[in-house]
Amino acid sequence: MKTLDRLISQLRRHEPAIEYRESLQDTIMKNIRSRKRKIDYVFGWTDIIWLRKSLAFASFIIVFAFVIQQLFVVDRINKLEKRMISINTEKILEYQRENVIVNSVIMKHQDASQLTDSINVSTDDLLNLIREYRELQYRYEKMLGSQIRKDRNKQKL
Amino acid sequence: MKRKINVILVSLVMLIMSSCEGPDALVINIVREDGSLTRKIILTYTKDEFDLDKCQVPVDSTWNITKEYDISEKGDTTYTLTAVRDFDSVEELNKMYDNYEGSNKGMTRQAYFQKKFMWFNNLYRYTEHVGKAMNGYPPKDFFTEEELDFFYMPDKLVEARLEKADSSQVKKNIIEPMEEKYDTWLSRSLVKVLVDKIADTVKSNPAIGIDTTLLYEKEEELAMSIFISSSDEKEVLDSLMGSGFYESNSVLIDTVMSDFEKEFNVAFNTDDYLIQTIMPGKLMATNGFVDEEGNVLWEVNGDVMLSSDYDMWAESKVRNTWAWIITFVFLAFVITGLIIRVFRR
Repeated sequence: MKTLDRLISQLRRHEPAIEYRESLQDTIMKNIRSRKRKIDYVFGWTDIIWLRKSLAFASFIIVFAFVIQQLFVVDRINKLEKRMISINTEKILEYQRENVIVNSVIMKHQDASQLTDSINVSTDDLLNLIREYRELQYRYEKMLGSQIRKDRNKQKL
Repeated sequence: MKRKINVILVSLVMLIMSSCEGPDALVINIVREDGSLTRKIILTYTKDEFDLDKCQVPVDSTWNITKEYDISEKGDTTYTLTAVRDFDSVEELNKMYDNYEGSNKGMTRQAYFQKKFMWFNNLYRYTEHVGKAMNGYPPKDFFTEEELDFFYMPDKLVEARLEKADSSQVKKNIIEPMEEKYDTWLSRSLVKVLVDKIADTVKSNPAIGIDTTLLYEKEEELAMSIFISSSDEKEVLDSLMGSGFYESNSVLIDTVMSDFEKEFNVAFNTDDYLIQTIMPGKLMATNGFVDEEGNVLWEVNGDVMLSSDYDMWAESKVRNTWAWIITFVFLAFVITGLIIRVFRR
């Protein structure tokens, strides 16, 4: 700070005089003019009113179109959530395997529907009945299997 | 006529059972951005007997076929046949549908693929269309939106839905009313087809003295009497249309009935199958059901195509990264230019 104050006081004391004032003025003006004439290839368009306005308008349209499109996409995806279900391809195939097995049990008795004393049963009830029957059959066989194993063990002893 | 209607009534009862005879089918479509697709057909059966000519959808021995079997915990053996083929376009698939002679040969099926360029994204739409069997009432005229969801829902999904905590509510508020309406929809549709056919015949043969306006007026009563109460058709027609109506128009009624039966059989003979579609990019919308893997699922059966066209469609989008980059660069250029101008001032 002291150095700066000293410099300022020195300058004030000596009063620097410009010897060639007009020449200096000309040089400065010449430089300014030559700088103005330089073409700005990148952002020169900002000086052309119609181009500047057009590009600004185009940018606005693009942003607007983008927002509208994204809103449209989000809305459709939100609606899609209502159609989501908890199942996958493996479960579907598992269901199909179970279904053909159950159907094969029904089809063993194809003539049943033609009998005079036949009754109407809803398909859902029939399928449930057969599933329950098969479950019981499986448990029974499993139980029977363990009984046979027990008997064998007794015989061995 | 009595015999024919009885056949139809038995058919209605047996409608669902008709799919029990052969293998169950799951058709998987993997759709790609260029419109080509891979179709995979998975047939499941209790016997190692797969007749590809009778399959629910077109398939032949030129497909890439593999077989395997599975023995369940309960000791049941099931066989699975998987057939895979690549299609360059849906047109190629449609040609197969046109030449199809299998169990669902009465069905009109077409596939469509559309691609829409929307600068930031490309939208894709894949549709499988099944033409209606007869001109009855579309289900949407009878069922609510919620009921329609269950109407079109594959059986397994209905079962899974009913395993949830609110199942009794769903059963009471949706399933049961839907089942009640189902009979009305079916009977009204069938009677409408019959009445339309009689009206068309009368229109082309004015000599036939039938008051078709009266027939249309009595449509609901006819449906109730013939299909719901299973009353004698002769008595019903005579009581509604005037004594002797049945006898004097028996030839016309028989002709109309045989025509009707042909159309009805298309729906009745439908061999059910499931269609799963995997779309390119991110799934956006569909009228099917979206599974845990993001694939779309529909069931094709006699009900869904009995009286209205069934379009199974799915839409997806793929982001155009190059368009995003161009847009970003352009916006950055314009905004920078404008900012620089403000600072220059």
